[in-house]
Amino acid sequence: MGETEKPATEGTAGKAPPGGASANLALEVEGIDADAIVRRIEERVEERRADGVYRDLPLLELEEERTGGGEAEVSFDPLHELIFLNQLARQYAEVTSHYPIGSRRSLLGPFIKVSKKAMRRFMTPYMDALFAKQREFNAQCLRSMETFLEMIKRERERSYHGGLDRYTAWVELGFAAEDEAELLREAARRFPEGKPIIHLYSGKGDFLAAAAGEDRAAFGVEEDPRLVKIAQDRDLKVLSARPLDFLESQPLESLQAVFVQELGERGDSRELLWLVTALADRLEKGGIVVALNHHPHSVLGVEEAFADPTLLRLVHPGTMQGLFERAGFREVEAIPSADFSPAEKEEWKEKLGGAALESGDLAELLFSPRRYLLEARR
Amino acid sequence: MSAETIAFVPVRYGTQVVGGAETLTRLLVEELDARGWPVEVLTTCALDPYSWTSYFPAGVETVHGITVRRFPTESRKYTRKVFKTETEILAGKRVSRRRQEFWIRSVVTSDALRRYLGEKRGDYRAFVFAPYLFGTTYQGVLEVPEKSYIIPCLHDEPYAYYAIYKKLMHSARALMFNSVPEMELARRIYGDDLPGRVVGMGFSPYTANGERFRYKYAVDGDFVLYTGRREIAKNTPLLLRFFCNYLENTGREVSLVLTGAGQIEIPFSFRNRVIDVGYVDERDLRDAYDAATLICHPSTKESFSIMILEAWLAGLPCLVHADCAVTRYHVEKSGGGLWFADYATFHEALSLLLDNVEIRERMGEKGREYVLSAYSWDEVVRNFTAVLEEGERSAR
Repeated sequence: MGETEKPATEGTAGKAPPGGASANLALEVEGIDADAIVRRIEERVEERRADGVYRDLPLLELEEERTGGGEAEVSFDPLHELIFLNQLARQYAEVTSHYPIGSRRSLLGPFIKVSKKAMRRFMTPYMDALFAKQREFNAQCLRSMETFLEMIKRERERSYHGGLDRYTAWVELGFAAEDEAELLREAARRFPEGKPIIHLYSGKGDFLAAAAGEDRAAFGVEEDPRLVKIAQDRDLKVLSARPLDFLESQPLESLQAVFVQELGERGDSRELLWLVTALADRLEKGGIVVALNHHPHSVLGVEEAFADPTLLRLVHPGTMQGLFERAGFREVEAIPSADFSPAEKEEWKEKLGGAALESGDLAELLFSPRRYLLEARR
Repeated sequence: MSAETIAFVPVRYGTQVVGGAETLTRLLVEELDARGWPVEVLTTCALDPYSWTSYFPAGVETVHGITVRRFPTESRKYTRKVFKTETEILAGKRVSRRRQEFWIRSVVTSDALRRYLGEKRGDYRAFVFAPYLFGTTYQGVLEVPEKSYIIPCLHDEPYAYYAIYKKLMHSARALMFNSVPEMELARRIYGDDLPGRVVGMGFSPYTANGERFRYKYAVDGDFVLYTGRREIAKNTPLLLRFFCNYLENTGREVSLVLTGAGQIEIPFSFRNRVIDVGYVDERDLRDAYDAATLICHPSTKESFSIMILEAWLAGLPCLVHADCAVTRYHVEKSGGGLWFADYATFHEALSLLLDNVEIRERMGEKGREYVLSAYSWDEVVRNFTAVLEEGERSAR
C-alpha cells in the first residue's frame, strides 16, 4: 500500500471564523521554532483575552446552553450511531442489584441508608434471579451488535478500493490462492544458479520455498510483519522492511537477481513506476528481474485473478515490457504461462454450455494463458 | 526455555491490550525475538485494567510466535479501606508504610505468578517487569531481586513518592527508562544512585493509507486525533471539554476522532463532531495517523508517549500539554508540534495548526526526523544489552 497524499488538509482554512483566526500570527515556516511560536501564542492570548473569545464552560453547561435544556437534533453517520449504541450497551449490559445507596437528609440520612441497605439485602436473591436472565439477554444482544458492527466495518473495508491487505485476505478470510507451486518453480528456474535472488513483497514465502526446491538461494523482503512471521515460522529467510525502502537503501548496480510476483497489481500505481525505476538503478549490469503476473488477455483468467480481493488492476505484458525498456533494461521478454488444463477447460465449457468452445477464435480468447513471466536484463 | 531466556513480566499482555507500558513491552519482546534472543512472557490472565478479572485462560499460549505463560490474578477486593487509602494517596496525604503495603497487595497481584518466579528463578537469565505501579511487579521484584529489571514507566504522580516504591526501585538490578525526563524524575525521587539508563522503544517507518481510514469509519474533513486510553489520568475529559468549547467559540467544521479503550461521555449535541470509533487494530491506527490533520495528547503523566512518536512517523504535527515533562521534551527537542497550558493557548495553537498547512507539514517532517534518528531499534537493543550486562556485573 503506498503512502497517500493527505486529503483536503485546508478544509476549514479559508473561513476566518470569529474566534479562530490566526492570520495575524506572522510565522516563519522554514526554520520553525516551536518555542517562539508558543511565545507568540501567549502574547496573542493576552491581547485577546479581554474580548471574551476564550469561553471555557464545563460540558454540562455548554450542552445546556446549546440545547436550551431540550433535546438536541444531531444527525450523524449510521456507522457512528452503531458504534455509540454499542458502547452504551456495553456500559449498561451488566445489570446487578448493587446500585449505590445514599440519602440526602442530613439527620435521618444514616438510618434511611441502613434501612435501604437492609431492604436491598433482603431483596437481592429475588432480584438476582431476575437479573440473571436480563444479563444473559443483554450479553446476547451485545454479542449480536458487536458482530453487526464488525461485519459492517469489514464490508466497508472490503468495498474500499484496495482497502484489504494481503494478510487479512489470505489468512483471516481464508482466501485460497490457486496452486502456484509449479509456476513458482518455473519462475525460479529462470534465474541462473549461484545468484542470490531477492523476492520483493515475499508474503508467506511460497516463492522462497519453491526456489529452495530448485537449489536457488533466495531471501524475501516483506513489509507486513504478520506475513514475515508466517514465512519465518517456515524457516524461510525474510527481512521485515518496505520493499521500496529496501531497494533504495541498496548501493547502485549492486543486485544480481530480483523476483516480484503480481508486480503493480496491488497498491498505488505510482509504486509500480518507482519500483521499476529503482530496479533499473540497483541492478548490476547483466542482472535479471523476473516478474510473474496475471495476463489480462483471457476473460476467464481475469475473472479468476479477481477472486483475490486485494488485486486492484492487471498490467498488460506489452505495458510492462514498455515500462522496463523505458527504465533502461536491455533485454525484456514477456513469456505467456499457465495454460488451462484439459480438465479446467472441460469445467468451463460445462459452465458456459457451449460445444463451440472446443476450438476456434472464441476458445482462444477464453482459454489463452492466464499468466506471463516477464524476464528483464540490465 | 533455557538459562539464557529473558522473561518479561508485564501486568497484562496481548495484541488486544491497550496501554503504553504493555504495548512497549510487547514490541520490545517481539523485536528481541526477531533478532534471535530467547524471550518469554510471564503475565496475568487480565485484560481489563479496572476490574483485573481473568479474561485470558491460564496456561501457555503463543502470541506472534512468543511463548506467553498466563497466571490467574487474585480478584481485587475494592473494600472501603482500599478506597480510603487510595483517596488519601491521591490527595497527597501521608500514609503509613503498613497501609502502603496493604494497598499494593490490593492492586492486582498473582500468587501463582509469584510462586512460579520463585521456583523457576534458575531457569531464566533475567526478569524484566513492567510497569512499576502494580502488585505483580512489586511481588515479583521482591521475590527474585537478584535477576530483576524494571521498565518503570514512571510518572510524576502521588503513588511514585511512596516508600514501598523506593524499596522496589532499589531492589532491582537496574531500571530501563523510556526517556531522559523519566530518568531524571526517578533519580530526583529515589536518589541519584539509582542504576539504569534510557532504553525506550524503537520505531520503523511504516506505510499507511489515510483514505482507507476515512472511508472505513466515515470521517470527512479536518480532524484532530486522540488515541489511547480514555480516562481522567490521561486528561481525555479535558481534551473533550476544550474541543467542544473550541467548536462552540469558533463555529469551525473540524472533528475530534477518538480511538482506544475506556468510557467517555460525549455531549449529545457534539456527537456529529466528536467521533468515537473505539478500539482499532494496528493497521487502522496507522491509517488514522495518515488521515488526521494533527494529533492531540493532553496527558500530563507520561513516561514515553508512543502515540506521539508513531504519529510523527506519519508526518503528523502534535499538540501536547505544557505540564507534561516527557511529551514537552519530545516536542521541544524535535520542533514537531506545540504545547498548550490552558484553554486559551489550546484555542490559539489549534487554530494556528488548522490554518497553516505548511507549518503542519514542516512540524510533521521535523517530528519524523527526530523519531528516526533518536529511536531506532538498533540503539534500543544496544542500550537494553548494556543495562543487562551492567546489572549482571553488579550482581557478581
